[in-house]
Amino acid sequence: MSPLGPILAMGGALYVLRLGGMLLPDLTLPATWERALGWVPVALLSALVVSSLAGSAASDPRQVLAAAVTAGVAWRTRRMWACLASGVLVAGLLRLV
Amino acid sequence: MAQPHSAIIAAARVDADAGRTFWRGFVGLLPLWAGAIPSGMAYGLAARSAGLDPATAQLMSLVVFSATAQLSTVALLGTGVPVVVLVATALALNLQLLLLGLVIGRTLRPTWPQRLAAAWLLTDGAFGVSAGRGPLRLASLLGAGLSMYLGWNLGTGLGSAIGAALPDPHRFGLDLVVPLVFLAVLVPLLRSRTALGVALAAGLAALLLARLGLGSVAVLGGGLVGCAVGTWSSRRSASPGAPGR
Repeated sequence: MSPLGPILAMGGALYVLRLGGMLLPDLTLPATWERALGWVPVALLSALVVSSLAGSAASDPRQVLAAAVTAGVAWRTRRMWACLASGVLVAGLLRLV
Repeated sequence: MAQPHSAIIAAARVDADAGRTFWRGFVGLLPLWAGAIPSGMAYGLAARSAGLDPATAQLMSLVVFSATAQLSTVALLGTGVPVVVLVATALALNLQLLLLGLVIGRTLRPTWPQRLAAAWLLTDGAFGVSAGRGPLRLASLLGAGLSMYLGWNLGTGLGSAIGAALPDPHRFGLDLVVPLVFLAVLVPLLRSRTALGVALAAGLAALLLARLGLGSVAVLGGGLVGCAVGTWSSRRSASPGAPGR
């Protein structure tokens, strides 16, 4: 199946989402919904970390160690390039062992 | 005679002012390129691992323009995962854009052309940069948005080029960059015990769903569980006398 269809569908959906808020300026959400939306980034990112690691970590537990190092670097520095560099480096070194 | 003349001068002044505000937004976002370029590269590499050609990978960055949506769905393209699941995942990951749009609509009351342009370029980073410096202005939002658009697409191009030059991305630990990008964005958000609880609940639910063979909805399901836990526990601790938050 060509990837073009899904790509255009996602692009269109996100465009409508970005536009949607601007079209409904007088909409107010119930407080519970606003609170739930506030947790969306943390919840989805955590689910993403787990599901993107789950497949490969089962076959190679050393990836979990590399991920732990990255989490530590992210906690200390909050710099994207430092996280990626340290994680990839640790994963690469562990594969040499 | 003098009136149209001064009106032209006033209009030109407004234009020049908007131009300056646009560039302030553009330059103000440049520090965020330090995150946009590496994660764009990570996406470019992931796209190459998923078998996408560089032009298609770039097209996705041009039309979808969302790091989390692209990184989480690129490996699923062409695997038979239904388009509905991909679109729902992309939307769920970007629900905060709806809230940002609401704020923009309320404070700026944009015209139709302004809405169509702003919707093309709206991201959290651009909103944060332009709202963080005095009152929110449309010109600075567009400037910051365009800056992020360029940085993200530049990173994508670099990642695609590097991916095409490497014989086997897996050998260099590069297949790990996608979870690492998510981790790097997630960890700084874990500033409270509730946030930690939300992350744990969402992660465990996602793991359970993946183990049950429901991998394609693991992200949505985990996210839903996490939000429910967060809403429930922040309502509890928001009650008077409760510690924290």
